Amino acid sequence: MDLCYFAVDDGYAEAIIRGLRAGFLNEAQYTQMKSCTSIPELKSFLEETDYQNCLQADQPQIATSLLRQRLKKKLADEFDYIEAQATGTLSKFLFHLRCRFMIDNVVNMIEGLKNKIDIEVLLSNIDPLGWFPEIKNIKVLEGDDYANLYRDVLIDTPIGVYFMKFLDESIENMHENRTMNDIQNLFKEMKPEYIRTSLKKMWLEDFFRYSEENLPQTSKEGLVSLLKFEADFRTIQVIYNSIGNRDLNTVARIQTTRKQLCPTIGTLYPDCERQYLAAAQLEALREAVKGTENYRDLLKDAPDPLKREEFNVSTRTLDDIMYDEECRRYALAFDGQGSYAVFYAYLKLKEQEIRNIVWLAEMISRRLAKNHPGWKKIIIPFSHLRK
Amino acid sequence: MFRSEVMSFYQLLIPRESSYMVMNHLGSLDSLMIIDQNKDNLNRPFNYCITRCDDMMCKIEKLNKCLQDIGLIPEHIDDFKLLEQQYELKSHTYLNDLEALINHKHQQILDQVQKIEQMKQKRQFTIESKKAMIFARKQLGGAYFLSKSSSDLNLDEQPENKPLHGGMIPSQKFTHFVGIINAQEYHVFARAIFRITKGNFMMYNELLDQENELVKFISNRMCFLLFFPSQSVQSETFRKIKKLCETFKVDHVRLPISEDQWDQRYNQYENDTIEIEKLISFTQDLIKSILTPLISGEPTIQYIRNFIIKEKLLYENLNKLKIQPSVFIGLLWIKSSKIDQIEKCFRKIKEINPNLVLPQPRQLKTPRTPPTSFALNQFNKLFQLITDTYGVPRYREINPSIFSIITFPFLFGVMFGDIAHGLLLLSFGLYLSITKKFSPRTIQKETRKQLIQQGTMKVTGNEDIDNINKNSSLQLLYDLRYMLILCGGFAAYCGLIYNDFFALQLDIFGTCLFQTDCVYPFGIDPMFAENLNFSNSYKMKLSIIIGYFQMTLGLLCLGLNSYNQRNLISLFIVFPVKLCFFSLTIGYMAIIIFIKWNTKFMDPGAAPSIISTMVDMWMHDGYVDMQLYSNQSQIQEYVIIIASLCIPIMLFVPMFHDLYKNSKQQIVEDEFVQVSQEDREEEHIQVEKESNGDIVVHHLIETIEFVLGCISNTASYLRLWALSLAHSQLASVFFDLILSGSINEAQAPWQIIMFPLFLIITLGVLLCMDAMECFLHALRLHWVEFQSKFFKGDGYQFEVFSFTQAMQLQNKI
Repeated sequence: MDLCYFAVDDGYAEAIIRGLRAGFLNEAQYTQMKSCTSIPELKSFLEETDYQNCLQADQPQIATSLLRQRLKKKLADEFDYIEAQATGTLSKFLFHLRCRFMIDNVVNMIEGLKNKIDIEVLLSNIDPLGWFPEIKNIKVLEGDDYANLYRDVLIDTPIGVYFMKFLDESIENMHENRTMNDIQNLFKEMKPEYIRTSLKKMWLEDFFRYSEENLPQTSKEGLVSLLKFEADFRTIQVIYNSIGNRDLNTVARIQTTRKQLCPTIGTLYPDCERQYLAAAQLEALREAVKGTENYRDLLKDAPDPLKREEFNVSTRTLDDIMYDEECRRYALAFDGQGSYAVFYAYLKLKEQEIRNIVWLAEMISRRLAKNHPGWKKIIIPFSHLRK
Repeated sequence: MFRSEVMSFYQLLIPRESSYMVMNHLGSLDSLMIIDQNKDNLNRPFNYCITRCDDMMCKIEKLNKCLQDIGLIPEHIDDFKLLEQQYELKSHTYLNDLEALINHKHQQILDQVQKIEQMKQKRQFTIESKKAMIFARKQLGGAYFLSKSSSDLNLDEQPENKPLHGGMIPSQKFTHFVGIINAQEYHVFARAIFRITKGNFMMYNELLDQENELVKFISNRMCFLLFFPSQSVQSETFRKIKKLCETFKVDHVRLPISEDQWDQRYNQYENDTIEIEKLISFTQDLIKSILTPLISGEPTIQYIRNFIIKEKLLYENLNKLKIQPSVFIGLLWIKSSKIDQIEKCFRKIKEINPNLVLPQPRQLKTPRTPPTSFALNQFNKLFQLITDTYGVPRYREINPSIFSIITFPFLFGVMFGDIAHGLLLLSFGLYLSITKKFSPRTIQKETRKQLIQQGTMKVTGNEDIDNINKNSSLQLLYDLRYMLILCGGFAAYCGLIYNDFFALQLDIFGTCLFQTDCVYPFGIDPMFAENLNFSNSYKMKLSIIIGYFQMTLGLLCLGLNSYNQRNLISLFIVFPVKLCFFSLTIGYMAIIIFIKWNTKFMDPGAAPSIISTMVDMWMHDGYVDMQLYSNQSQIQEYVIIIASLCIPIMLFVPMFHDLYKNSKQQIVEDEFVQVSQEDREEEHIQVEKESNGDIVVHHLIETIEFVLGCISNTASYLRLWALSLAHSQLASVFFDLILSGSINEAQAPWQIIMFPLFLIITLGVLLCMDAMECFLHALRLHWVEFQSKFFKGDGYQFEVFSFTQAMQLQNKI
């Protein structure tokens, strides 16, 4: 029924998205990009595509990081425009989408400050999609005092909620008679990557709940299935990456960390939770997820994480496999009608496109031979639909 | 102009070392087109030269902008040929010299501009600091200077200070801080301070107003005075606030400690400002002295700019050549009338530089279709554009735009027929072409004048930019001026025939309605013209007759084209048969109309209707209900038989011919493979292979289209009547509703009020909207009804390799 009313509020925003679909690079254009031999050539090629305007002001020999920044800026501009057109539920929904990028930005800032990187450099590397005015204030962070950081800065930001929950959980998980010193130590040992994963997990759960409760029926169906997959993807990633990780030496520790990082939503949770938390080898992980969807098939080709040292550029890693699967699902979701999943899918697919371009730029700037397997490692959005 | 110019195909083998020289001279011939042989190659050999030229152009535009800012505008160049002759002597290394010059100037200007920017910033900071100082003094009160300490102060000693909020321990030490921040960031900053100090803070702020117009583009700034509890500079809050200030780029202002110091600081700021102003004006003079040689010196900026335009075009065309180790192979089309110029040009090169190895021109036969080129001038340019928009004529095809020069305004006139409206259009067109006020050259000159004025007055405003934009839209009308003159003239002429003047009937010669032996000398008798029944029937018939003649013209063009292409089947079978069929159907109708016009019927009811005559003729095999002339029935029977016979001939003869040719071609092709490759050129053309089925379908469709088209196209010409009717009715409705009442009752004041309204509506609706509509319909009649009879329109433009043209385009003339 909500399909009848969808266009009343969100028709225009959706129409814009459908129009932007034409901006995706197609396979022929990817082939042309692969045949470029230098960065200026790549740039002049991109200037003939939809990315024309965002690159014109730059030098031909554009640095890869700047290229990424420009492409992201364009995506952010498009997204800003859509957000400006959105009303009611949709605008809240779009805001939720942004939180993911904000988390990334905040963690990147923290990481950068810890490594004593200049604030200007950090600010210029911010993903424009997740920009918010308070982000500069992160500079007041002293040492590893995340609690203070939260109190001084993040409390006013949209992602403050997640950060608070994260702090609560990390302190709760400590042993009973903890002292201030213990907490300090805990923060000191904490890796930014860990913070990122936990924050994202919380965001995902929150977003999932939001989608389930507030969205119209069609949008809910579309999004829930996408988010479930994303949660599963995260779970599998966490387990996979923790297999053979030397920092997590005891079984108990592995289990608690995994438990903390794995989202409590998705198709794997809670049925397979016990199995996957205990999985110590790739085979065990495969066994744990075999009952759900086609995950077993996906994991079939993944290389063994225990032989991580042998990986090189050409290895098709788990991430590649998963991104491929993700892309397929998003492309399908994009073709759905009257659903907010379109916006989500668009954002994800555009991100993939930017990843592709940056990857190709990287390959080109390293002057790798054209028969190098790395050239094949791009996932072209919408290419799955044609097969 | 009737047919496109004859082209010859040449191959040039240009030795690498003389390539620049040769291309340089070829570009000034204005009569050849170089075929692009590297179309799909992204890595063209001279790309780097083109990017260099682009770079220089960019820099020149920037310099031009700087020149504009100081009111120095270079003189526009009118004579490009002269310029070209000067350039001819320069070698390709001249570009390097110019590049060095431009880069040098550009860098110099950039440095100075940067310096000015820095100084402006410094000045702004000084002004702001001064203001912030005054602001802080106002807030802190005079007592502040009595206290001994500078950075810390005890608030207890300042009774007149504003009361602070509760929870504050009086003895606690306070730190204060004065700074300047971007106004839009103030709120984020204040909130961050709130969090860091846990609410224990006071902050006063004031927006700094910008007095100086030079800094008005910089965003608003705000100064603030912040108090917060802090024991020492080492405390955590202090450190955090300091960090925060760094990220927000807060300019910290140190307050003077005593009254003396205050005065001293104040004076210092004043002096600094004056000094910086002096420096700025000095630097501006310096910029002027750097830029002036570009206007008055040698070479001038326009000279350089045009040279680069030329150079860029040259390299673009060099890119089109096929590159081989020691020679460049160029394939080119040249107007056959200009062939001798190539030789002449080579001789000239030889004179200039006897040591150079000259290229070898060789005329070749080629299967490629040559490009289409017409000699254009200001007058026929527009009509050619109308045709080209539909399709560029095929090589050596009859150019329909020649006919449309007259037929187009005529059809427009038939639809727009009104003496007054026509005369208005005509006079507007004449005004445009006589005053030349909106010609690109005049506009350019005026813009230049404006810019000079603007620059010397140093006034930057947006109104001038608007002005320029407005001119560009009038420029479009300027291009249409000859069209307006012709259309207006024909509309006035047709208006005379219709006897319409603002939809009123002019009784110039005295009506003949109730007199015997009297014929109204020109146009329709005013008493008749008022009668809608009469004018409808008259205009309807007129449209059919006009349609018949225009389409017959189209068919004749088909015949001429077939003759020109030596297409015998088309010339001797298709063309006459089509003409015969068309004349027997629509032509016969036109003849009946003439007969009816010339017959006098005593009783109007006895006059046969043209439509029913035509319908009866085709439905009942020549049956005649009311006879128009003797033997009508017999003649009509013949007409039907002959016309019906035409259709199969039209269909089968060319079809069988093509089928035969197709089967023969296949045999030839098989043989052709065995023929040695020597005679063939390196290029291949694809021979379109059609299956026999395709040919049959193609001819079937063509025949059906023609037969049905005869009727539907003729019906389409009825739009002439419909639009003319709509035009005159609209005009008369406006007149009746707005003016006639007051005129009839002779109310002068009412007339005075109503007349402007009438004028505006006439101008807006009739002269703008209706003229546009009539234009579009005339366009359609030409594109579809007329051109479909003969016009193929699948040629391609001759893209002349001409420096003059490129320079003209870039200078917008």
